[in-house]
Amino acid sequence: MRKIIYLSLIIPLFLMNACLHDEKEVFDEPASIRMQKALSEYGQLLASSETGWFADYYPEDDYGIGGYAMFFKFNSNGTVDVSCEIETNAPAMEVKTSQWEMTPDQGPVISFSTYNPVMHYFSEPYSWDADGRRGDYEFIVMKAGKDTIEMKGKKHGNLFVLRRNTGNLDSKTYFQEIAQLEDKLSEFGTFGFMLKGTRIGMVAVVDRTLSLGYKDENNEDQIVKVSYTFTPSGIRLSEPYTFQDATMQNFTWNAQEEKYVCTDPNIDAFLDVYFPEDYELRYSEVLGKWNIRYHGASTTTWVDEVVEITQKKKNATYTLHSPKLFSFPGIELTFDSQKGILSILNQNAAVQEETGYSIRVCAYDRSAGYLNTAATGPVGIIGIWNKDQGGTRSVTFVDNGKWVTYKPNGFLLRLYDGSTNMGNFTANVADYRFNDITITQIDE
Amino acid sequence: MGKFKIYLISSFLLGMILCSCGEEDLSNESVFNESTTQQTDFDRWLLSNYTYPYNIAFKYKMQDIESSKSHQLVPASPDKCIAIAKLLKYVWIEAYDEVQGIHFIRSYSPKVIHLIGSGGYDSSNSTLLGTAESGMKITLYDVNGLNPDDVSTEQLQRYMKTIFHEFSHILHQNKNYPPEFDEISHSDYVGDDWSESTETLEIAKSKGFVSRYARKETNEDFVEMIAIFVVYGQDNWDSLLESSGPEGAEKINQKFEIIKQYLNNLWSLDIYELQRVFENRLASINSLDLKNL
Repeated sequence: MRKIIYLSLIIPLFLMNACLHDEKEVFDEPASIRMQKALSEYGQLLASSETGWFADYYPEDDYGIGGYAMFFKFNSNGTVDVSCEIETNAPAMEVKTSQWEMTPDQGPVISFSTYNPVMHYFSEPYSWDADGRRGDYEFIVMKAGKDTIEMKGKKHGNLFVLRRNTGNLDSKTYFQEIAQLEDKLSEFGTFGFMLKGTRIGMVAVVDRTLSLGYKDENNEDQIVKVSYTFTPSGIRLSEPYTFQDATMQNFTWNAQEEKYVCTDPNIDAFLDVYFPEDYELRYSEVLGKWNIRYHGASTTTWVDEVVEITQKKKNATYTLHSPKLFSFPGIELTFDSQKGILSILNQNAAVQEETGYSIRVCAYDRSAGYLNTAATGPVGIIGIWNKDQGGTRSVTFVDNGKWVTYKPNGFLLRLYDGSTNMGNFTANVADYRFNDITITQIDE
Repeated sequence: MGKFKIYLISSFLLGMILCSCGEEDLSNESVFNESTTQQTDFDRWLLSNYTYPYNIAFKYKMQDIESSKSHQLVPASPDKCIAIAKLLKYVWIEAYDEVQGIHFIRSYSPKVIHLIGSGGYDSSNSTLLGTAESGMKITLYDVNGLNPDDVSTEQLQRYMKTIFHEFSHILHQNKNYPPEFDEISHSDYVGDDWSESTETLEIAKSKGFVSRYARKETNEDFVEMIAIFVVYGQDNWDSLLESSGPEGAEKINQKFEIIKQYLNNLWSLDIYELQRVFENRLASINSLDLKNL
């Protein structure tokens, strides 16, 4: 019994301990005051740049579809001017104004709180795509310096870095330079990755994302994906990327040598344009005037004519024009960017104005007398390049093997009303049949 | 009770008393921070047209924490918000003012109206147009879909249906309707399956529902009936009954009778009067200037 009494006297001593703590304040001020100060500090910092801020904006979780260059000018009256290099819900480069505010949330948060057709394009949901492009418009401030503010998207978590426009650049010029650079670069889909003189692996480029394939130390295949945004001089990766001991983020495009050179201090790395061994023609090499030779009305007499090949969708399609051969704008050539090969596939090339009928390119096996009536490929003829033998560049079109039953050696033009055959197209100047086609580039 | 327990309890008590030795002054600083942004003319208009007379906070700026987490959303455009604010006041708030007196909306209106630019879409192919939370807040979606230059009656009815739908939730959340209402269609509620493509409006009507969504559950059925009756008017109601078949029409009539009595007895509200006032106001929205404050 006595033990119990002693014990019960001891217990309070343990409990008393609980109040002998010495609580030291880590911060001088309460959390709410510090938050308020942070909000007004960041707000003032954002509004302090008279020349605005540039940012690389990444929608999608994990930077999935690459980044876009944007420009922001935060005004102290609560409005913000936003523009983007690409067409959003506003035309490319056009400035749209809405409201912004700093709010306390998970830390100090900057919010684009009223609708902005540029900014919210990346977050807009659709009835057919409930998540849209998964972009953020509320960002938690992580780290703020005078010229760089690092933030993180609240919902999707991508990094959002504002860079003060210290060079007083014109945002339109900045975007135009990016557009020109991207246009030039869209011809190249594959690069080699060189680090300190060693070829590490290959890099495929899709959707502003680099996919680096390489062998690791155990000789196993690895693939790493890193997204980027264009800058007027090259690309910037979404986050610094470390390979072995080299940390890289910024690359400049060297047009002469056709390679991206890493510009981060003390890093010897570049990405050089790569075409596989059996790669035939570059997209840009096909553009221009060619002589076309083919069998038209007669299978024994050659017809020669000048045609012009122009860009339709870069690195994917061309238009072959010839007012003498076609009374309509032209037919489409398909370009295989993986192999550098041209094709002419079944297609509805144009609509005949008088009748509203489609003018259809139909693969044609002239010796068998059969034509393929499909409205689209894959049936058609494929170009065989002469490897520039004899100093002239020519491409001869043969069966691409997709029709199986017949072997088209050219095409003819037919009219279609929907799926109904309305007969041969005869309004062209030459003939409606084109067989045994060879095109030869004309030096200018 | 043994002595042991007494000792033990008293020693704990002693410990607790000794423990409560910390003293802390309450800070006289508020932890609630006012937003630092400047007031616009629209902000001031909202104060004098919603907040001061009706005690309603009209939030047109997007606050992610205030809205549905499960949807990807974008903020509303202020010019659309001005139009919505004016329309809501004229055809909803002032309609109730006219029928019930100003105190009705003052007492029962949601305390917060929050506008969202986009609709709330999800994988079940349904579109969120409005939500109400325990009589406190009404959130309206798809505000950017309004064209202030050319507000069509259909367009407006769509918004107003959302409003009357949500406000009717507030009414039954304050004073519940009689359980007999639930019994009439009890076995025909289908929960989230209401949006399945096989659950057509025709089927819903033949089973005694005024819309597909009304099949979700009893509360939705209840408010859909009020909203459709008031917003779409008597002619629409009559043709709806006619096209519902005898069985469907009978159930709709039974449920409507309960609603009518409920509004009359518990709220002293004549639903026919409300329908008439709303219709008149809807017909005269062209007199409103939706582009300027």
